[in-house]
Amino acid sequence: MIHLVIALPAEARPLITHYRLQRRPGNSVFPIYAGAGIRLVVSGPGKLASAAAVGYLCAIGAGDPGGAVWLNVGVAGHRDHALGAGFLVHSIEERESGRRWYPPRVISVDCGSASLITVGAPETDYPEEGLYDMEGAGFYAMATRDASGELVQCYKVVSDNALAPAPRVDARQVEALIGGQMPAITGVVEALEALRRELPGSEAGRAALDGFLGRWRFSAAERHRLERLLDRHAALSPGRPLEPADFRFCRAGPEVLRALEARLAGLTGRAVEAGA
Amino acid sequence: MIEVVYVEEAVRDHPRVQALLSRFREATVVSCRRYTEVFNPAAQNFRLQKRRPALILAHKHGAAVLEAPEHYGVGGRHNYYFSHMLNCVYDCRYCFLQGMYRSAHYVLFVNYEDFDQAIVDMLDGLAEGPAWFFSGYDCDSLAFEPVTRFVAQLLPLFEGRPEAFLELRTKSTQIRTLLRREPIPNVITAFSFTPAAVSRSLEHRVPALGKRISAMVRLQRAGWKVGLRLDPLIHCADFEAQYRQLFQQLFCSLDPDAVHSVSYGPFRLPRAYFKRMLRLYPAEPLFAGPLEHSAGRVSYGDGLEPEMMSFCREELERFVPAERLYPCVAPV
Repeated sequence: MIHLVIALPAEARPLITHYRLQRRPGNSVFPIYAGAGIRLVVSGPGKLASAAAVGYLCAIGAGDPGGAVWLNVGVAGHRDHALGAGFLVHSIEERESGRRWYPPRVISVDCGSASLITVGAPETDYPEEGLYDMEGAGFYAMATRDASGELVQCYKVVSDNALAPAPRVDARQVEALIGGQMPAITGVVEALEALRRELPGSEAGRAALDGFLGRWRFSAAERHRLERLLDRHAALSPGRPLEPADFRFCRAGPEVLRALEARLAGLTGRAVEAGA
Repeated sequence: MIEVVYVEEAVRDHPRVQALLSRFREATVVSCRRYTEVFNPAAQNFRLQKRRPALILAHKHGAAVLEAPEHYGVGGRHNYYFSHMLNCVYDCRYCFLQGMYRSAHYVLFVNYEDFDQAIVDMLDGLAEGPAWFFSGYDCDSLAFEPVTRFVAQLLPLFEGRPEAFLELRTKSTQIRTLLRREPIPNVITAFSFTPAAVSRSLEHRVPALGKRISAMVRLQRAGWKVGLRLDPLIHCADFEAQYRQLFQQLFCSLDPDAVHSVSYGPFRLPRAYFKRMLRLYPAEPLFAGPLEHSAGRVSYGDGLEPEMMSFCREELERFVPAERLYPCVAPV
């Protein structure tokens, strides 16, 4: 699942249009737009709002298989960079606390990178080299509770600089600035999603587990054991997934686990196949 | 290819940092206060980072040389280790570093002289020698040498201190630093091996077995002392035939009489490391093998482990006298 966290409606519109997202019905704490494999939340400005919106999406996506990637897209100020320039963020500093984060850059995308300073109010003096925003730190701190840092990134588009300071930017300009970076933004989204798919815990494995869970009852500890046993079987017999029907003579979960363990005992000698 | 270099603010102007940055001109350079800010956070995935590890240039604070774990050694009375680098350019599935660290980035401590001084201090504090210093505990000693030049600057120290022994442990073929100079009798380059099929399956990015044996032979012919490290021993289909063949390959190429030492030990890990590694690679056959969990460690257990060890010992004794064989069986 791809989670996009956006502060302002104007920043969100190009993404909603591009991914053909539909607003979820009902009154929710934050407006949520959703489409195939994507959820977008409009958080409102500020790091607390951004962190809260991440938490809200986490709750909504709690049952999602395979985990999520997280991308914060928005505008930011920079002393020197040209308006409309886009950057993947390589470090985030929360100005108030001095805390720093370093989103690991594992994906290969054709865009520049920059440091980001998250401030409590719009910055018009740009005292340091770096992008200025109001959300990045809150977003990253919260999203990395759900996903590994490689899958949590910020993409910022310069909306103001020393020659064109923040108060002059209006919603239409913001929409145009984000819209102008859509090729790069979609590239980041695709790369992150491809990276997520490399993580273990495939949907096929999940389906196999669900088959067992649907047929027998397992306690929480037994379920954990079942997952490990299915993983081990998959490692030792790749391409030959187990089916619940293979254990049709078992009457209860613990009996399935014993049968599975017995089957694995006959396979472990092949753990590292010569020439594998 | 290094695409991102993190640099601690305190070493930004260090000449070694400047030289390294000029080598990686295309890389994005990111400033950090301490390397731990980048390296230690929990929300990192070793497996994903291994795709494109970054380089972190840092200053080593605190003790640069530490006492080696018990039974880590090749017969020396005093054993120490040091790590000028954390993490390895190779990607061996059995490697404990995957379980020990959250990050796969390479940390390079650029204050080499502090390692030298720590070694000298350690030696000066000893009533009697000899003392052994093991490099290559948290990294491969030579694989990144063309970039770091750490070993090149370290060798003169050991040349002048014959009472101290240095072990360089490696799976690489980067031996130019050694071949460029006269051999130093108290420096041993120890090469780690598993059988070719196991290596192909588990030792990703490691040079082919034949190339590593060739590098070892070249060093031996140039007069350098070499050692063999068969740790970890990996259980596999046809274990005995695989290891018998490996020993044949090694001792047909090397001069067995001039092999300084051979150590061998079974695959074993602290349980906490194993659990992390299993989470990273749940589909890895190695971790699905006949492993037993007991007393906080994961190993082949009381049945298989002694069998593997005694088989290897018997086979190795056909080539090397027993006094040069060192089993590594201590608890992890």
